Amino acid sequence: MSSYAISVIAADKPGTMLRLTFDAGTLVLHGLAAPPADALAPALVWDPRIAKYRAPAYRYRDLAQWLRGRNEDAANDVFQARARTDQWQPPDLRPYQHAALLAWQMAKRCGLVVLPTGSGKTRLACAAMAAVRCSALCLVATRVLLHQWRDEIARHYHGPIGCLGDGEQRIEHITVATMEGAYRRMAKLGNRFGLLIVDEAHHFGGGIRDEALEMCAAPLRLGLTATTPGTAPLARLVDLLGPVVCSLSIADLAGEWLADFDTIELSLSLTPSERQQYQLATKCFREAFDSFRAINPRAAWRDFVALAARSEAGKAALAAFRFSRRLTSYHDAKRRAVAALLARHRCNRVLIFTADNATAYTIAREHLVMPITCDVDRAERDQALAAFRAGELRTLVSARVLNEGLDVPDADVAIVVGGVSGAREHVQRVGRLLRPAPGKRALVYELVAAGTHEVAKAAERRRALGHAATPPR
Amino acid sequence: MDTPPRRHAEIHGEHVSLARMPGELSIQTLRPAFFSERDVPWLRALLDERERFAGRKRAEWKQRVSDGLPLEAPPKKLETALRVLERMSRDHARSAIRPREIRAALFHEAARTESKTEALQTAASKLGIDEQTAMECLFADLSDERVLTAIAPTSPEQFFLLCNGELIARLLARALRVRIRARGQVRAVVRQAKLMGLLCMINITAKDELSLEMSGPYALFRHTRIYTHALTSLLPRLAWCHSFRFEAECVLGRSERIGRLVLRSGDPILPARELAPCDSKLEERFLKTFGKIAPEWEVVREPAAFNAGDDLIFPDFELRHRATGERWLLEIMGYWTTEYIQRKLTALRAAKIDRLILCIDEARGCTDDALDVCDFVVPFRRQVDPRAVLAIIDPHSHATLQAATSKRSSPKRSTLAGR
Repeated sequence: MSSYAISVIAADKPGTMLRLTFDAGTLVLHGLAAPPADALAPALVWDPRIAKYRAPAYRYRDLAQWLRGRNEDAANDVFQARARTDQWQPPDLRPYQHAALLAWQMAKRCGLVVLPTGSGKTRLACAAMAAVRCSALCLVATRVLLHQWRDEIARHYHGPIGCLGDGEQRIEHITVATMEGAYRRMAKLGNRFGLLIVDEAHHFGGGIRDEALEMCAAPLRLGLTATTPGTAPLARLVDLLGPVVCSLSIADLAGEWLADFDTIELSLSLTPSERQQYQLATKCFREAFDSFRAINPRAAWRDFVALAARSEAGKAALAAFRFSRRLTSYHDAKRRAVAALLARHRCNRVLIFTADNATAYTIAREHLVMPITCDVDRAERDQALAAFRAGELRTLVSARVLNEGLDVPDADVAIVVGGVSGAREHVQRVGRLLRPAPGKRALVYELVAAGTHEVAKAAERRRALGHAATPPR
Repeated sequence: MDTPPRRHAEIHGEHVSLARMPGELSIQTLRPAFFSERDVPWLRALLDERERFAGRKRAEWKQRVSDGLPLEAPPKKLETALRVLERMSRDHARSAIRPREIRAALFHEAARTESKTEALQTAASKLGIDEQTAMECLFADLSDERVLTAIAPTSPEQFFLLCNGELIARLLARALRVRIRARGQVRAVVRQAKLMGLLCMINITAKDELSLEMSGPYALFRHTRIYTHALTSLLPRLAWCHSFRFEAECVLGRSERIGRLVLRSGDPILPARELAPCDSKLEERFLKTFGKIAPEWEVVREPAAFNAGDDLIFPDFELRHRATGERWLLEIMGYWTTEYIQRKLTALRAAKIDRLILCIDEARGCTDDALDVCDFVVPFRRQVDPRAVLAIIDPHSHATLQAATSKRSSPKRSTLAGR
């Protein structure tokens, strides 16, 4: 019985010159027919399917160095023409941005920069692209950010800008792509860019969609994020993008480079009836969850969910959990507080953040304010944001869409009615208010259901802000 | 706008917990509980109930489902059936005026006016509707507010096949690599694999039976779901093989444990639309014209693959003489280089295959070198000349044909020159 590899790559003959090529998100080393006696670069793995060595594309830098170090003829055919461009006009940088750029360059142009929202991460990325002047791919989290990045780059770069995502598929020397678009196409694009810039880099590192970074051969990498990821994702990001080369929190920049702000926590009681329902639901949930934790003290939440879904008692516990969250997300006191705060800040630009879309629509109906959700299409959302900037709309309500990246320069009051993603989400939300303006002092109201799980969440959120805000009242 | 239900097993990337899928779905074994004739009564009741909700808001249907449908149905199967039903459902916004126009008018007015009532009155009068309609239609285009239309007529029997497709698709959304043993029409599977960028290891296990192992290049390094779409796209093509055994390695949850899903021909899977008899117009035209000029030769589509050196060759046609049983193989080549053709001819000679005709498209040469053609190479432009093929395999019939149509010129042999 014979075996045949149907592949475009033919088997090598021994003694052929070493040659490194890009193949569908990987690097293939030609010319080594069998495992050699000397030590290979650690990333190389023998692929029996094609009888050649293969490595993940992101290890290109190590491999290229290893190839150069060998005392024999070796060809590096991973990248096609690596043209440089002189169409950049480097942006002016603030001192901390300049320091971040310098730190990145000193780290061999591979690293992660942690800067708060509104501090000019896109501008820093433009400066990095202008400094290296090679082809660059910028990955962004959403379609909205795709257009924002393109507009920002166009201010400093005079060549055509490619776009992958939101219906466009144009690749240029400088290209902006959504993470999802890049994930699907990196097998073909991975050897076309010398610099990879990842905005909101905290989206990676958890294993989901990490292939978008792994299958790219770009030797220069810059990750940007507003919040440092947890230990495990950070370790993965360091492997994929490089170490944290600069980290500044809101507290470091508030007052001078970001607008100053105050946080006011409003502790709002449940009504007796709500309290009773909450306690019943919590009891039901805790009984199941505590007995699960007693048996599996190190298990994660998702393990509990997986197990609970298999029994009626477990399902009831999950339903009770969801009910308790729904109850506190917009209970009666929060409803009245929102009305009072909107009346009080009639002349301000207000952003309301909710835990879910249902609450956002409820508030939109009750107070006739524009919701910005995933259901609202791009044209309508852009119109609404333009109207908000122009002062024709004074309030927007959103569950998640406004959390990241959207450029909303003039908002000065935020009402956080609820949230689901914890501290990182809160930092992003507060960041929406911090784009500086002369004499601006932003105000963040946190509505917390007293005596519920929200109290601990609020404390965690405050810690995440880096003590930049005034103490809660 | 309403669109008809799809007629093949659809593949969706999203994940559903294994705990919520019917069947024995644990480590090592992924055995989905397929829908069958036994499920028809409750599926019929479900379809009838859904029909009753045509013209009503999606939120009402959701509420009905969450309240519990009066069906004696296995819960996990019901959940699967509801997912399929949801995908078949179409809806529309019921509103006199486009909801976004109402929102624009109302929210702008509300930003200008202190009183909610006043804002509502002003906006409604500007739009020419009453206040109640304005509020009712404010979010009429949101998913839950949209009105369901009747689903396309589907019998319970068709529906359970769709549900089986859903079950398989959900499991294959976790696929890392697949192993296939198949007979007949395998070429379409291999072609699909190559088209989708998969690496394909092939063994000839028996006459007309191939064993294939397919995975993506990056699968060497980690459990990746990046090839899920490519791997699942093989299944609809497999359904047209004479027989097959399909084994997919699927990753279970986040634990990176592997389970095996095995499907066989005969499993109740709705196949994709029937494959076209020919891969291209070019082949179709050759099939038609050759049949006309050489009726004594039977043209067999997709004969068994065979090995020639390190290559596995899938000929396009086998030309079989009806009386003598004499056989020739014919392959129409796409893009080529001189080196590739020389290597192929050498391999064929080494494998002692001397009755294979290579039809080479002169316009698809990826080389500047000239190629001296040998006897069994038929160059062509735009269409393969059946007479040139007949001249090789049956010179006597060709001569007779030439005499009969002596006024027409004979096909030219030329030297191939790449672009």
